[in-house]
Amino acid sequence: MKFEVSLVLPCIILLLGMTIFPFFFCVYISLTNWTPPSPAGFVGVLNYVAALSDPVFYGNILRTLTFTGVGVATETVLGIGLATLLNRQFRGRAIVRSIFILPLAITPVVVGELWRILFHYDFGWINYFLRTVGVPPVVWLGSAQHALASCILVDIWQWTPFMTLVALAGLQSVPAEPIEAARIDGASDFAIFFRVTLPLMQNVVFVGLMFRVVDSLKAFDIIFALTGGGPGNSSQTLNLATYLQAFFYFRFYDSATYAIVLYLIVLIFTMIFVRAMRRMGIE
Amino acid sequence: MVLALALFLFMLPIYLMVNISLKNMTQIFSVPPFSAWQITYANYAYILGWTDFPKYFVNSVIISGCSTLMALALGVPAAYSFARFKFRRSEDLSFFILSTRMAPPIGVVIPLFLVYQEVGLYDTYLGLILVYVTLGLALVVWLMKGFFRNIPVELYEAAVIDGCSRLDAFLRIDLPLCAPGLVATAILSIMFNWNEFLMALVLTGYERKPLPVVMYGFVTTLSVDWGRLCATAVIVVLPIIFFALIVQKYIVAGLTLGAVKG
Repeated sequence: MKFEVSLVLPCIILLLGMTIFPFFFCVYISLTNWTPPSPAGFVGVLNYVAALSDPVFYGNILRTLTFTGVGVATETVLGIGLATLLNRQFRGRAIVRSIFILPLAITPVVVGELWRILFHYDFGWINYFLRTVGVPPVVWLGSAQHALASCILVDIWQWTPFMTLVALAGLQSVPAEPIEAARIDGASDFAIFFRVTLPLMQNVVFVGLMFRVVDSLKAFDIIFALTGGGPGNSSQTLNLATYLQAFFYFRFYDSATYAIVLYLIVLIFTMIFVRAMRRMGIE
Repeated sequence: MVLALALFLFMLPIYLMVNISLKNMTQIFSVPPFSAWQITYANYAYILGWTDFPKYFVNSVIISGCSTLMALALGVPAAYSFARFKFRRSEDLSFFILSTRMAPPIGVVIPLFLVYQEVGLYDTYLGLILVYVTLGLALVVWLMKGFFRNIPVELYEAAVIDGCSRLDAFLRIDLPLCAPGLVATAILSIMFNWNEFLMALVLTGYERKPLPVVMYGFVTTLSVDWGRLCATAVIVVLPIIFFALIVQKYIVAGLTLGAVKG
């Protein structure tokens, strides 16, 4: 057995063992009409066809993509910006950096509950501030227009520190010579940042971005704790729908179908990312 | 300046959490939220005096610790192999490892629940540890792959020329050089395992459930026990903060090591 293969083998064996059965089980269930405790009856691709003509399904996909797109884009921009601020020298820098990861370190369940208090229409802090300033209070979680936006806001709050950490690491690895050379050549700070610093950071930031997109497409804890998908369907993403179908409606077949579709979406995104990374020379 | 504002905005909910944990029920929903209140330690006394709490704390420690150790033990050699050696299908294999992270947990959790009931792994340490290792391996392998890629091959080659076996060269040269990256990966793994909720909820019962599930117990359909929930949350987050503060400079240095090219 070649040395290099034997290093990889235990890892692969465990992963195969743990994922093969659940994966095929999930695919099988999506091809049936299993509603426990009734036995499962094979129905072929009927569930997928039904999903394709279900407007709620398309809504779920749209909401998932919106949640990920807006959330991750904002987190990345904010993260890079904050990283540049944190990269400067100032007193207490180490402590500030340490407490900055706190949003990441708190259990998502608690994060959801905390923000439910903040978003509360009558007693919440946010509306209290708005009233003091003279702005009419907003129904954050109880209205169909704002539910998803509120979830995105909390997601940004919790995960910007992750992108900040990643961007900070990227910034710290940027060698000084190209920046000095650009400065000597008379480039403005703006140009230096966008043409020199940012491209040099892209390796690290891209890997962080990829993991963040994958995790965001599967986001569950925060949305579940904040709105539970409601009101109605207005903040329901595909992963949430998977959970609700299984444990709320007991339509396990729908749950499995949505899970497979979500998996395919994530797979496509990841393949795009990995291809892009290979072409950019990161891989 | 901007940083202070950002800090204030990000820390506000944290402040809220600590705030609530020190209040009693009537004071939590007072309007305006900043009217005078007295500190009560009753919530913390309740949590820490609860006889079952150490059991769940120990559960979390054992599950998170063992999962991280196992993920590192399996993932680091694999990452090393992907980084250093080119063998048949290595790209496909590393993509397969990444793909294990793509599955939505809910789709996976039902079959796992059924199998665990049959096999007797429900509500055991081993059951949950196996799942967490599976979930964490992708992160470990891909992060460590980056770190290993940036250690110059020459050191390894020099060792092999001098008569070191390949395994020895790996253990004595490459691994120690990678210590910051290793620590960074370990911290991220521990953080994810410590706070994981859905798998723990479904796959453990009364005996082995870890802290996030315990905290969810404070959220019932009738009411939310805010004070005790936040007190527990503060206690649960403290070990992570403790680790993070100690290791903070390693995290940044570790990720840095992985980003320097050639």
